[in-house]
This record gives sequence, structure tokens and C-alpha cells, in this order.
Amino acid sequence: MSALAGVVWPLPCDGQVSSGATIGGRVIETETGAGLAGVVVSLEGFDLAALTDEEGRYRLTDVPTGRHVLRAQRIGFAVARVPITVPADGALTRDIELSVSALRMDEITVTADAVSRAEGELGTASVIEREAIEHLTATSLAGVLQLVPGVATQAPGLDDLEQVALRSVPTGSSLFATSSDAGVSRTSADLSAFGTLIVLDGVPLSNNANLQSLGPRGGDDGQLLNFVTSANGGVDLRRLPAATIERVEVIRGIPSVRYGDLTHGAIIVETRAAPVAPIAEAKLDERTVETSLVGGRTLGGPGNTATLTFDYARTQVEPGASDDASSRFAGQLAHRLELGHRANDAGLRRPRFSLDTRFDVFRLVDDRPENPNVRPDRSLRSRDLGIRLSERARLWLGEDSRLSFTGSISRVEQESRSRAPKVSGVQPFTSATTEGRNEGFYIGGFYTAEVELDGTPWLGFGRLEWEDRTAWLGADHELIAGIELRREWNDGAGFQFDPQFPPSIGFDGVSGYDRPRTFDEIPAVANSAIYVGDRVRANAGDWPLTVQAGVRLDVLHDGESWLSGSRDAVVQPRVSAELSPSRRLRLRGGWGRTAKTPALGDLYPPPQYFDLVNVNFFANDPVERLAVLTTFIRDPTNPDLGLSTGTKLDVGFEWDLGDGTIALTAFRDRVAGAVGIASVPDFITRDAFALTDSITGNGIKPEIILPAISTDSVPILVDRPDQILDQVNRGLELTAALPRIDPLATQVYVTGSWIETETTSDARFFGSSSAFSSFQRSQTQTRAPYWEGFTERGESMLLLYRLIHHQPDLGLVATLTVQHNAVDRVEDVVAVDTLSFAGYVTRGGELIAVPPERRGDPEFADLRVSRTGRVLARQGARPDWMAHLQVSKSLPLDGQLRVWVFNFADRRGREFEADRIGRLYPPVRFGAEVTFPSARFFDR
Amino acid sequence: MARLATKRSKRVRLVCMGGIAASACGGEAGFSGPPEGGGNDLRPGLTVHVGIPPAAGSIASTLGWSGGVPGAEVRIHRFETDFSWTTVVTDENGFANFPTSISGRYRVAAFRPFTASERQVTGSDILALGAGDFREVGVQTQVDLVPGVTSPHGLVISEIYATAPSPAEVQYDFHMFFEVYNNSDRVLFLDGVLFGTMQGIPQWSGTAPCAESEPFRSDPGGVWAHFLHEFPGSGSEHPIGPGEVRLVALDAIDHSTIDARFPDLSGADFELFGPGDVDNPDAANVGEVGLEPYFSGHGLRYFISHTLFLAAPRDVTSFETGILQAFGEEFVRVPAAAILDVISTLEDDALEDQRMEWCDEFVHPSFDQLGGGFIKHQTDLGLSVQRLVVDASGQRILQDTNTSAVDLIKAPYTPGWIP
Repeated sequence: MSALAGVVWPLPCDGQVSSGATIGGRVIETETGAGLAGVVVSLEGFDLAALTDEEGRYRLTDVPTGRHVLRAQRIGFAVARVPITVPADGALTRDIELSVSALRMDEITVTADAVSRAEGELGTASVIEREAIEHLTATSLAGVLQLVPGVATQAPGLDDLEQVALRSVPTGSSLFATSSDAGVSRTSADLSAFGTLIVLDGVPLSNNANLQSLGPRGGDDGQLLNFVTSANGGVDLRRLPAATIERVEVIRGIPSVRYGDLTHGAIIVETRAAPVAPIAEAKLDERTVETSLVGGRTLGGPGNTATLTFDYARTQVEPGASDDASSRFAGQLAHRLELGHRANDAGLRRPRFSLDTRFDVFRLVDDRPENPNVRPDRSLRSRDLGIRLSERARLWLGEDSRLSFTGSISRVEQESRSRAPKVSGVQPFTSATTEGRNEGFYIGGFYTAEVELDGTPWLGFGRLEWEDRTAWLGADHELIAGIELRREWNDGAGFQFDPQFPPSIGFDGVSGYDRPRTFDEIPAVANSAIYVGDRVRANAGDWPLTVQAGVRLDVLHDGESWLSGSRDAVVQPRVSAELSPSRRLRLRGGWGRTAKTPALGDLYPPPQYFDLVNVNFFANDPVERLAVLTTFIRDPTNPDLGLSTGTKLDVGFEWDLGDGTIALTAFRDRVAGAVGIASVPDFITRDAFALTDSITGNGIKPEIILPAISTDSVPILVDRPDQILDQVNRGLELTAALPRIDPLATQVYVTGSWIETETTSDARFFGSSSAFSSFQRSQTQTRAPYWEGFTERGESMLLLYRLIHHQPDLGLVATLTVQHNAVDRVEDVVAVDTLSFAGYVTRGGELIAVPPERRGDPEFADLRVSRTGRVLARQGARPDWMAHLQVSKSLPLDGQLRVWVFNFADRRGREFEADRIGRLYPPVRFGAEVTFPSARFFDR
Repeated sequence: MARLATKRSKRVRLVCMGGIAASACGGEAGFSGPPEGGGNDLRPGLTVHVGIPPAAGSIASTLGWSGGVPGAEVRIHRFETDFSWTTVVTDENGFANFPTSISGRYRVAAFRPFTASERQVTGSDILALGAGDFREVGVQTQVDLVPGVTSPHGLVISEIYATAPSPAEVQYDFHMFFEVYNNSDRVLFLDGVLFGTMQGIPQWSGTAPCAESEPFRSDPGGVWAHFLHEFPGSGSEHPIGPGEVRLVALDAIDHSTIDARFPDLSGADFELFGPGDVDNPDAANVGEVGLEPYFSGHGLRYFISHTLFLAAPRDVTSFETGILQAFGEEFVRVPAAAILDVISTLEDDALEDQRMEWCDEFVHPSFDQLGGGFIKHQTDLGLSVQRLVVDASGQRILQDTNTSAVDLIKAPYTPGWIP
């Protein structure tokens, strides 16, 4: 049960500006038929609420016409959500049933409603309530989001990183073999997830300071540093257990100006926090066990409540085959204090001051221990331990004005450990960390490399917001204005390993390797924002019109404090509108700009080392060996790196069919200036030396003779973060609730999406790493070709059909979910022929463009090579489907039993073919979950 | 060499492909086979007939052969079920019967060395005959082979070694080596000689349909390669005398210091050299001249399970190029006229993987009729693929019938010397 009860605002009694209907009725208890007093009945998405009297009666006035959702809640009962269609005027009677068990209520919502309204938001959104979350039996937030159009179903579990990419096709996933171009060193899925804001209990989570990766060159051959990490992507959603979530609002459209640091959308999560008797849940399937507990109580009065939530889950990744496991613990202690209660005209008790304090802790572990019989001497372990303290204080300055402060401080300890056997051919090597020439040594053979990567990202957040409701110029206004400050830093021990046993051994005599680096030397990032907005309700003729408009300014500061200058700033106007030409039709649309701060790792990338071999004299006698290397260091920091921007546009309609609804939205979202890695040519100088003694077998170690006998330039590429990525997402989203088939007690819900994503990189490509290495080493090659830019295109059509069978008398809900993958297509849009080069780079790192009309000239014959590394276009994966079954049943003593089968037909999917990409489905899985509320054993 | 079709009738038929000289088919265009009224009746199963190559025509008549090569060792190996050869010796008419054979895809090879007395009688320097093919056969099928000949000539790859212990993910394979042997009776020079591999051109259909790679695998005009090395020298700096061998190491170091089971290659004559490599000053560097350096920076690795070749000195920038569309990879064509020697080896591990659908040939039969040299990459430590010695009476003469399946054997490695 949400702590929202008691914080809704009624419409002002005077200055009526928009006519509407009156809704009234009774709230009764399902089992007894008795009226329930003290139930808050509200209109979802509107600040309109009433309190039932002793007989359970309620009355709402001035309700706008159209399709809405009535929400009835009282502590100790499941929340009821009742869809209604409100006429333009007149009165409407709607009784509501409440039960401890949602399964026994006539109305139950186990999907995201087609006409969902996020609180205070007008943009296209999906709202997912507690009943739907329970019915899904998801383990984490990611599993809950499968009710959102465009998100595929998944079996519950913790075994893999979970991110969400709203309105985006995740090219660069296992469907798509991207090249090793430095231009897109991260997938478009990472980009989309990075731009999706997650707000937990009013406070944003952030992945901006996550440094658990090492940039484009930090990894090795993929065997050692493949930690499970969401760095450069979105928040790992496994840290948010579904069992403790009360409500999720997924704003796919244009969010209000309150929300920033996003490009794709916002997901607003409210955890369960209410003084209810403990509710225990236990879940079990072949891989995962989970247990959770939610409970609270008042402390000396109704305005002083505390809630404790606890969740533990563990997934065995390959039961019986390995000890690999992922586990999560999450807990929250919530306290709510309300002072100065008074009743308003609607009978609702409202405090003058409220303070919500939440202390969150989570621990996420991915453990892949050594299996001596299969992969000896190899282990991998990642652990995130996070704590967060947040406060939300609200002060009512009058009937219609409120001042809110939201603040939080969070800290996550991220530890990654990896150990793996490595093998290296003998090669000259150095561990120098400063520029200059040094005598090196030879490494090679078998050894065990161990890596420690310790990051500690912090987030300090504060927001002061003023809200006011007023009537002005014939319209109702809800004004907001606010200021927001955010500071993020990482003071972890960083990347540590023994240079004598390096993890990166892809050595070519020029490129070096990433040295150990501490994170606490990396400066903090400071952001600030101010915003002002208005939500206006008026009539356009006879048609109710709601417009939400505002402007937000986000500033990325130069230094570590908000008093330092501005490095970049983006003005973000946003407008959303909703028009109801009739009570059965609602038109909506919106346009807005957004901005996203770059990740800390992009603002302050690690220095890039180049280790040039000058002397490589590996005589048979160890005494006679000599290796000399010169180390160069380049700083890839880009001082011009700034905010990436988003432009969102969507239009749509909602049509009430009477006993069903259809909502269709078309959208076009564009992200400009997202951060990728650009290769910037430069050069270093290579000295060749004569040796005092190049005779072997005499026991004499040679020395170099100065000065060098020759010097040449060696071209290099510096991997610099740059705003080179653009992404355009366009498509259609469908949510439909078809009329109920009463004889079958079944209703069909359809969610669907068609999305096309184009991610364009402006980065230059200088050939494969080995081809460029050949150019570097050559004594004769004076230039090498380069290419400019490419586009990845992905297309996806995903439909989910849910047949929901509900028998309230039995307390039974059964859902058959059919996932239909209609289209999955990915391709590169790029020229690869021998005339596709854009120019050439010299040994001095100079770029010379060659106009297209001259690329066929004889003088450029050496540059006419095909562009490699791009995946040739293949046909998309063939259409396919899989189906799941979920059954929820009420049990005696208000309990619930849920059983589920994922992919019950055990459909394998489509294998990769020579001319088609593949799409494999997870194998069949099944499990069960039970819930035991204990309210019956305590005073309600 | 003629590439012959399979036959599915009881009658013996020899069908010649277009472009093959009639004499290669026994002197007649169209049909040939067991003589009327005599010879072999086909029995249920597979029958292999080893014909007389034109180059051995005079030998055959001197020795009294008529219908085919008698006393030839014929081996068959059926993919998907057999992991070793089944051997039968041909009769007086050159037929070998395998009565229990069932339909399927087969590797078929034949080998006939000439004894010292035979060579004395014929006066020929041909030392042996070898043939091989890769066929889809049915029951009661006859496969006809026309062997290549071994006579002393030129440079050959005499040994390759490339095994490593498990576990595979950390296998150390920098101790690879190969040998170049002068199989002729005159001094030759290694200066500018090219060493390359067809690695990157798939030999099975798992990564690309065989039809896509066929133009590269079945090109009589040359051998396609992405990675090439070139022996140093400007013409006469690196002689190799008759019967001499030169050891070429991937890394010319003492690998036994890393693992006692690995060879000591610190005395190698040459080493393949890449950009991230160790450099033994006592071993001349065989640099990379291909389209790009081999990954890992030590030069070409993974000799096993690919087609390797030696080629005469050429300007590599003059080679024709082509792109394998399936991967967007570019290759150069080393012209047939430059090819000195080709060997094709296969890993037992790969052959035993029944998911693999092998393409019919790895290289045009004019270069190598049938790949061979089974090596279990990760367990045959200490074993190499070596060219068979057919005459050890004086200078070693190594078998070279352009049929790796019979020219190569698996034996304990012998870096730098011929047993």
C-alpha cells in the first residue's frame, strides 16, 4: 500500500474553470458486503480525491470527461483500480469492491493499463500496480517492465545484467555482431539504457559514476576483464526487487520538467511503505530462490509510521553444472512523520508538514568460482554494496501551495575480482608509468593474472520545489518551479594488477596497455538545474483540454562544485497536451527536449600508453638479452565533452470501446551528441639504435649506442571520448484491452510495438587493428586510408497477447502470454567498396581528405582497399513465438499461490543461418510463489 | 589431375570430366574399366580402382601393369563414423574392394611406392604414386583414382608441428615450427621464398556455405591467402643444399623452459617475425608480407588444420585480390606457376565433430588431391606431421605425390632433421 494516501489535493472550491461530471458510489468489502469507511477514492493522474464516510460512500465532483481510472485504497486492503468512462457532465454512480486479496475483487489489473496516468505527468506512460507485479512473479524491476510495449518477456532470475532501453531496438546485442570500430565502443543498447532515468522513491538513481570498466583498451582478449557490469550503460535493475515495489510509472513520452538527466524516458518507482502487518513471500524455481518480507506499523499515532522491507534472492546460473551464482539482498527502512493534521472539505486529513525518510541498502553479487575440473585457476566475482539515505520533506504553505525538499546521499562499493590463467608468447615489455626510454624485460609463457577493480561511486542529490494551484484566465493552473543540484564522484581504489603479469597482452610493439589507476584522483562532476512548468486545464470549446508545459535548464559545471563555471548548458522546453473531443476519444501529443550528462569515465578517461620497442635482442643466453622500450603517454580527455540532447515527439489517441480500450502512439525520438569513442590520429617517434655488441655467445650484454642511428614517425590512434553518436528511434506503440468475453470470464490484452532504431557514428575508421599495426611498423608505407562514419539500423516488431481469465469467486487469475517476435532485423548502412575511403592519414597523424571524384585516380591506388569489419547485411530473423502461463490463486488466510511456466512449449527459436540472423529463446522454466499476509493475526 | 564422378551402377564406368585429356582416363574418352570377360566383379560396398597415370606409363608397361596399379595401399575413411583409415591392397588390376562399406561421404586415398628393384628395372626416378579424393558415395560404388608421382624436385615442407596441451583456452602454441627441405639434387635458395596459408577461407559450411568459398578453394589458377611470410635475403644469401633441411620456428627460443614437454627451438635457422614478437638475433627473420599481420603479433600460427604452401619469390603487390563476401575478408592469389609445395592438414578433433559439414576440397586437386595428416591438436603433444621418407638409401627423398593424405604421417617431432 502506498504512502500516497492523504497527500492528494482537491480542486479549489472557487474559481470553477472546467466543468465536469460527478462520480459517486459506495466502497464495500467483497467478503461481507459491508461499507468501508476511511477509504481514499481518487482519480488516477489527477489531484482529485475523496474519503468514504461511515457507510462507505464517496463523491467526486468536477471530474473531467473521458476514460479514467478510479483508485480506491485503504491500509490492509488491496488497491482497487476501476476503469470508468466519464461523461461531459451529469452524475455517474460506480461502486467499488475492496478485498484483502486482489484476486477476489471484480476488477483486477494485471497489465499496464491502456489509459494509465503517471502522477503529475501528461506524457505517454505505462503504470504498473502491485497486483500486476505480483502476478508477474518477476525477480527484479526489469521483469516488471515486460508489461511495457516494446519490452520482451523474460524468465525470472539474476544471472545476467539487466538494463532497459525504452523505445529503442538494442542493436549490438547478441543479435548483432558489431565490428571492433572504436567509433562505437559500446552498444546502442547501452546508449539507450544510459539515457533512461530511474527514480526510486522520488530520488534518481544514477549510473554516471560507475567506472567498473576500462574504456576501449582496458579489456584484454575478453577472458579476464569480462565482469558483469553496467558501466557506460544504465542502472543494473537487479538491485530493485520486484517484491518490494508498489508501483511503477514508465514515462515513455515527454516527461515533465521535474525530470532531467535523461534522453529516452523515465521510470518512476515507488517502494512499498505502509503500516501493514508483515507480508511474507517465498519464490522457488529450478534456478532461483527468493524470499521477501514487508511490514510496518504506526509509532504512537497515525502520522508516525515505519516500514521495513527485505528481499533476498539467489540464482544458480547452471544448476548441476557449475557453482556460478548471482545473489541479491535488498532492504529498506522507511519512516514517515506527519505533523499538523487538519481535515479538508473532502474529509481528507492532510498534514501541514511531512517527512519521508528512507534508508536503502542492497548487495548484488555475481560469483563465478573456480571449477578445477573444467576451468582451473579461473574465477570471477563482482559485488556491489550500496546504501542510500533519502529525505522528502513537504511543507504546505496554504491550501494550494506546497514547498518540497528532496535530498539524498548514496554510495555504492563496487568490487570486481578476476583471476585467470594467461598465456603469452615471449615478448619485450615494460611497466613504466612515465614517459621516456627504459630498459624493459621479457614476459611470456604461462602465468596467472589477477585483477582488482574497485570503484565507489557516490551521488549527492538535492531538489527544492515549489508547487502552487491557482485559477487564472479561466483555467486551472498547477505551477511548479524548482532547483536541483547533483554531484557525483568515485573514490574507489581503482584498477590494480601486477605489471609483471598483465591482463592485457595484445601487444604489437607500439600500443601499450592500461596501467593500474586509482579512481580517487578523478574529479567529481557537478550538475545543476532549474525548471518551471505549468499544467493547465481548460476547455477548448466544449472539449476538455489539458496542457502541461515548461522549460528546464540543465548545467554541467566546469569544476567539482556548483559555483564553478558552466561547461555546457541545455535549455529544454517541453509541452504535452491532451484533448478529449468526446468522452470516448482522447487525443494526445507532446514535444520536448531533454539532456543527459556524460559518464564520469568519459569525462575523465584513463591515460593511454604507447610502448614502442627500440631494441628486441633475445639472445639464447639470458645474460645477453636486452629489451629497450620508449613509453609515450597521451591524455584522451576531451575538454569539449558536454551534455547530449534528446528531442522527443509523440502523438497518439486513446479510444474507449465501451468494454475495452485501444491506445496507439506514434513517436520519433532523437538523441544527438551521445558519447562514443573516436580514434584521433597522432604520432610518436621511434628511435633505432646500434648495439655495442650484437655477437651472441660471449656472455656480454649489449648496450645501445647514442645517439639513435635513425628516427621515424609512428602513427598512433588516441581513443578519445567524443560526442559522435546520434540515435533516432521511431515507431508505433499499441496497447489494447479488447472487450471482455463474459462467458469465458476472459479478456484479451495486446501490447505491441514497431520500432526502428538508427545509430549513427561520426567516428573515423582506420582499418582493422592489425592493418593499422602493419602501417605503424612499416618502414615504407607512408599513408593509410581512413573511412568516415557508419550507421547501425535495427528494426523490431514485438507483439504480446495476454489472455487473462479471472474468476473472482475462486480468487483465480490465469494469464496466457504469447510473445510474437514478428520482425527482428539489423544491418550496417555503410559503403565498403574500394572507393568508400574518405582520405588518408600520414605517418605524422595528419588527415588528408580525398574528394569522391578523385578516389579512382591512379595516385590513390594504394588507398583503394575494402572497408573491413562491418557485418554484411543479412535478412532478419524469421518470425517466431513463445508462450508462457501464469496462474494466481487465493489461498485460505488471505494467502496467494502463484505458479508459472515460462516458454511452456520449450520453443528453441531460430538458429543463425548463413543469410539470416538468429534468435534463440531461453529453455522452458517453471516455478511457484506463495504470499502470506499476517494481518489476520494482528489488529488491522 | 582428373576429378572423377562417382558411379552408381554395377557396370564399371570411367567418366571423364570435361577438359581432362583422354589419356588420363585410360586412353579412351568415355568408358574404361575392367576388361571384358575378366577382371573384378563389383561386390556390394565400395570399390576403388587405382589407374595408371600418364607419367608412369612406361613404368607400368615395363612392370607388366595393364588394368591398373597393383599392390597399392588404398585407404578409405568415412566421415561421421570412422576416425581412422581402413586399408586394402589392390589386386593385379588395381582394384580394392571394401565390401562392408555403406553410403556416405568418404575420403579415399591410395599409395604405391616403388621398390628399389622396381626402380632398378624401370630406370625411372619416380619413387611412388599417391592419389586421393573426397567423395559422396552410395552402396556399390566405384571410385577411380589417378595418382600423382613422386620424383625428386624442389623445396617441400617436410614437417609441421603445432600441438599444445589442454586446457584449450590457455594453450601455449608459440612453440610451433615447420621445416623446409630440399628434395632435389641441386642447391636452391630460400631468399624471397613465400610461406603462406589459406587460413580464413572456411573448409566447412558452419560459417559460410561451401558455395561461397568454393571459388577460393577450387581455383586451378592459384592458391588464395590472407597471411604471407617472406624469407629474407636478396637472392643468394640463404642457400639450402640437396637433402638439407632448414628449421623455421614461430619463436626461436628454448620453449622447454616454459614447459619441459616443449621443444628447444633456440637453434632454429629462421623465425617467423611479427610486430609483438621476441627476436632471437641468431635466427633470421621471416617477415610478414601479407594483407595484414597475423593477430597476436608473432607471425603466422596455427599450422595445423589449414592448407600451407611454399611459393617462389614474387612481388606480392602484383597478386590479384579477391573478397570472400561472407566475411568481407580480402585475399591475394598466389599464382599456380609460383607454387612450390602445398600440404593440407586436418585435426582429428575437427574431423570427429559430427556437426561439421566439410566442403569437398580445401584446395584445387592440382595442388593437393586430398588433405591428410591427422593430428589431435591438444593431445598429440610431441607428435608432428611429417612427410614420408620413400628413399633413405642416399639423400633422403621425401614423398610428394601432391596427396597430403598419403604423403604425410604422424610421428614424434624431429625439429631440424629428417629421420
